[in-house]
Amino acid sequence: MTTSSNHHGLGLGRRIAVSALGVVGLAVATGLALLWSTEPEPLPATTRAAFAGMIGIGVGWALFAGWSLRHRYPMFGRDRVIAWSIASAGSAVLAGVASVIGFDRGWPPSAVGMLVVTALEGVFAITMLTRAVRRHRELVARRDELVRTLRRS
Amino acid sequence: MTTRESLEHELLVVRSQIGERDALAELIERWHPRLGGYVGNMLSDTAAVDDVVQEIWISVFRSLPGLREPSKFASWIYTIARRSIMDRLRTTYRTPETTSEAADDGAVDELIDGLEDRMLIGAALSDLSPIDREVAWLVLIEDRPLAEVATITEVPIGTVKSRLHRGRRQLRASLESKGFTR
Repeated sequence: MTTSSNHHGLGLGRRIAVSALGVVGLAVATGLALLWSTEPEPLPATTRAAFAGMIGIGVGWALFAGWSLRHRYPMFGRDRVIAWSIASAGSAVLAGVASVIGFDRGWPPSAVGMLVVTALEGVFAITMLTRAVRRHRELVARRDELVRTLRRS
Repeated sequence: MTTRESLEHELLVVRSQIGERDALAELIERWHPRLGGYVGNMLSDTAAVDDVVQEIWISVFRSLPGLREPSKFASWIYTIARRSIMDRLRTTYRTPETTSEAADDGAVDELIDGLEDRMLIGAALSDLSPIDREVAWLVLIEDRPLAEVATITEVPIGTVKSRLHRGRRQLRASLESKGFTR
């Protein structure tokens, strides 16, 4: 085993890329599901199959990102702040898209439901972001305190 | 470890938890040889050492962000290492435990202190049973306090003392048979 941290999949760029991939995958899946569910007329079978396939791919990428971040890319203090910031921003965009589509189509129940889901996602992401920021601040404060103590000694 | 060294070490752990890449690399550089020595001392199968060390690092990376007491990193990482080692050893070794206590530990320490090269002690430790070897390694090579060794090995401090005593006695016999005397 090498002692280079890059060989452990710890590169910050890779972790951000995986986080972004998960958010984009979820956004694509949610957006397509919203469009599909708010279509006023039944879609042709081939279109439904295409929508289902693309939603599946989006969900697949989101699951892959979640698994990778859990098992392959440990998230340290500032990584979590970045990752939950991405998730919060992604949730806000999704909620915006859901609002626009819902407004355009007269707020059918599926659009309302999707807006509620994205809003809940946003609340969860912001809660986690708040926790991540607090933890990061604690660590930075402890680091600075240790540096000061070592300088004095 | 002096107070200053402890603080420097804690700083390294905290910086790693923040996500500072150079600190994490330094932490790995510092601990990789120590883990290799600890695992190598505990496993007779040298081919398995690299695998076990790698397993330990994976567990460490996964759990490091959540470590709440960075000042106890050494105890924490040895606990993780021990679990990985025990997983390997569990099916191989079944060593009965005795709790005989006797004096004369100081004579062994004197003999050990007289050895300039600790690798010789490491080599002599291979004659000990795995559980005695583990305690002897942590106390005599890594200079960990007995209370911390008790935490790492998940046994009462009295058991640590008895294992250490037995290990010292066997170590002295082993070193003397190799020609090292006080």
